[in-house]
Amino acid sequence: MQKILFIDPEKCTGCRICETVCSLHHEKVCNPARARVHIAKWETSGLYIPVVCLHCETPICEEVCPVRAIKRDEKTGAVVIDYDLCVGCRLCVLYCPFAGAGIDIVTGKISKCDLCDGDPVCVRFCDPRALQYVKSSRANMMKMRKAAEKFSELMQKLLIP
Amino acid sequence: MTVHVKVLLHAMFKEIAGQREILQEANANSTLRDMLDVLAKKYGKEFDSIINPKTGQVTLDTLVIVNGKSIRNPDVQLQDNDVVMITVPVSGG
Amino acid sequence: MVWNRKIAYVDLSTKKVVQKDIPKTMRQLYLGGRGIDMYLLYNHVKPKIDPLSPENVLFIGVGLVGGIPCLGASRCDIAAKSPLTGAVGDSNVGGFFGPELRFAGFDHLVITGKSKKPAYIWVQDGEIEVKDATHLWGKDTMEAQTAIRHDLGDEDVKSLVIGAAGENMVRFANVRTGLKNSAGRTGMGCVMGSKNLKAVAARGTMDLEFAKPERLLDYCKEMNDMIIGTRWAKTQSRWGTMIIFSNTNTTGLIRTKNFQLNRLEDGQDLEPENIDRYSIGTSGCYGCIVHCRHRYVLEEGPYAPIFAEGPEYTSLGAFGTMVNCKKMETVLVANHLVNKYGIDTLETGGLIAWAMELYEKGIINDKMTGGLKLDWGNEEAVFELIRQIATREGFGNVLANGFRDAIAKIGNNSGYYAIQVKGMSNLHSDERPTPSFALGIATSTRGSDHLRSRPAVDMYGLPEEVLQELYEGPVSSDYTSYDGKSRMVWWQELLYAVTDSIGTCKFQTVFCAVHAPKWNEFSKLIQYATGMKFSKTQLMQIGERIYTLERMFNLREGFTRKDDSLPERYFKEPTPVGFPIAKGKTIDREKFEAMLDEYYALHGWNKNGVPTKKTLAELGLNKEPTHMI
Ligand code: SF4
Ligand code: SF4
Repeated sequence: MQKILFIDPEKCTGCRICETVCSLHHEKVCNPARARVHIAKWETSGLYIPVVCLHCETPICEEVCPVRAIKRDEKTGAVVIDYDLCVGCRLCVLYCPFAGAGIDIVTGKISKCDLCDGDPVCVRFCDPRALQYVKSSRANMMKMRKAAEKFSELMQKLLIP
Repeated sequence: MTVHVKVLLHAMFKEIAGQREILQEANANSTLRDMLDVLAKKYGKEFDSIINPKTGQVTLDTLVIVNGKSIRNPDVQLQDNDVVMITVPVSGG
Repeated sequence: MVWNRKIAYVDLSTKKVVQKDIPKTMRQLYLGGRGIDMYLLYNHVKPKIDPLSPENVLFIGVGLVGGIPCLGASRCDIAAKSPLTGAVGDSNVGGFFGPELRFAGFDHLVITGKSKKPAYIWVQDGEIEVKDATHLWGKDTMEAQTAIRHDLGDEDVKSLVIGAAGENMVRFANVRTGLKNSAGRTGMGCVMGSKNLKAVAARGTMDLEFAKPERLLDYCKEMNDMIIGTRWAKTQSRWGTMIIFSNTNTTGLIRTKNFQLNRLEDGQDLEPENIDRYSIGTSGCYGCIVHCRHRYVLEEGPYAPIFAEGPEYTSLGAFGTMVNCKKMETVLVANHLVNKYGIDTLETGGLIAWAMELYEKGIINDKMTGGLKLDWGNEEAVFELIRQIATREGFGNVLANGFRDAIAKIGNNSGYYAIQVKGMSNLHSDERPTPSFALGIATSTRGSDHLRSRPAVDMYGLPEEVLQELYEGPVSSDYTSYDGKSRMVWWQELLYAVTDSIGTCKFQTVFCAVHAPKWNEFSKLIQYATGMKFSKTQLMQIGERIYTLERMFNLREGFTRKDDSLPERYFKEPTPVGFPIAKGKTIDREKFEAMLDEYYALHGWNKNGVPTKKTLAELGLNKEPTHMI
């Protein structure tokens, strides 16, 4: 069964380890600005939300890509970029509603989560389990939904005065 | 003859047992080890790793304090009215 | 690479900025963070200057491995001559500012002079600018951070800021970043205020390169696993440092009503799990898996709504046991207030508790307090006094310069009741049953302080073989004993000096857990990160170099052996309550002095606590100041 990246923002402590290890693994440097996962922080209201490619069922990026450079890796379930085909038009970056695709500030190339070949480093390091890589079973989908609901409640309480 | 021992639980031990204080009854000649065994059977998780099975001693990251004194070797006889605190080494500020 | 991280000299009087490389020899001798800051302090601050004059210099430094994903490698060190003690001023802060400064290209800032108008320093990707902060002056520490982000149009800017207390030059004003993190001690916020410096803001997107990135990544995982595998970390992850309260209050190791009792009766509400009523989750520093603090919300009460982080064990003592307030909520409100105003929680609580005892004893009265009823447990008085201290109003102004000045103003034997060393408040732990802790606060180079040396493992009755192996010498496993305790303190001083210099969290070394990362692990981290190799012996020597240089700074300022002591009450008044092991204890003066002798000898200092010629030569300190950077 294919696995999915499961995000539970309620568990996130905002430590930014995921960002750091992502850049260390992919770019061999520590630089959160070059990570493919980001922690959006509302420090004064205590909200930390990991933002990362969701590897959508029907990826918008794939649809908008004019040269069909975006495909699903059947083994890992990741939506990945074929850099041999990518022309760097940035349509995917523009169209992704989840800020899943970005531009690397050093190479200028499109940069997005590739699930690290099926063993995401961020998940491995995220001890609070705000990031998990789990089977896309019904049970897990339910869990994910619960987490999202709970989180949206929290958000409303804190962000709406 | 039985002895009565007050057991104070802190941190995860308190959370698992659901109370901070229990009164434990034991035979007059039973040891701390006997009592820890009883607790381990009763509560399982965490309580079952107070003693390091290799050394037979209290593990280095647990504190078992009898009347204020940290005990490593649990083969001490329990006395009536002993206060045993089971907790975790923490410090700082 | 760390090698292209620079040091910048910012002159606030002229707004001139000079950037320089940090020579490799500096790294070999002092690593970074606190180590290099101490070198700079000794070299750039002229002897006997007024700490509030433009001649004082403020140093900000990031640790050598700052920014890596383990052990809370977030720490940033802030130093200057302390306006509170006149000794080494030095305070270490976690959060996110340190790594951000690094990503912006700098490891060290040397801030001199004084700005005419309120200013802030803006560091971004290799560039530094001194900006106007007139519009920020008067804002509290949270507002100021938000306003700076707004100003610069970037939500990811991290800043170090001061609040009202810093602006008013309260001598123990702190430097704050985020909701909770504070460089709390020795009044570094006061120094910023004296320079009209409201904030230092940073944002960086520069690569931090490493000698062995793959090895480093794996090793970081190993380090994190090592930490989270301990029961200590599991506990602290869940309840934060507040969990200490359960142990110390049960045993009788906690100061209550200033120094009158060593246990708080009916203190159940301060038990750490009661934070769950207010918590929405925990929060971690950069690179930390322990996340030892809660994000909490108070929806009711006169100060509501409050959204804050913490509280630490320190605040639980400062605004709980010390002032005899028995409600978690009091602590949560007070913690929020001191953070908002930017004053050190420990010093503030220590002073208020002292004032309460003086009030009880009739040494101060309503006339002096301006009508404030400083009765034990009066939370309203505590909140009001916090405000008065930060704004220097009324009786608050009597306390705002710290213990020394307040004792001089109040007179009448008030000094006897003050629980302080070198002008700085003790933590609310009661060290009378624990000679090692007592020695540590007496010898700390920055005034009474547990974080310079606290050998917490002393409390755990560990087998003597384990202690022998760790400290490489005989140490008694009985915490009430004096045997070997000087060795413990000395060893921990070196370890913590190195920890503060590589920039990892002090809890994530041998603080609570014996099998936590220390010399060898640090050595590997440094090697994978920078390529530099240090043996355990070399790292210990670096620790000794840093600590001895701090000692030299204090000696130069006129401190002597006499200052390495304890409040009189430690020797005279036995602990009244607690378990048999903690009850009826005083510190034995003779044994204490003997411990001090041993301790000096371990450092290679003479009977007066002065480093010997031989020691200075061995550490390469005989020519200081050498002005290398
Ligand atoms: S590693 Fe986990 S807890 Fe830390 S910031 Fe990332 S998602 Fe949050
Ligand atoms: S990049 Fe955006 S649109 Fe494409 S799969 Fe990821 S989240 Fe979906």
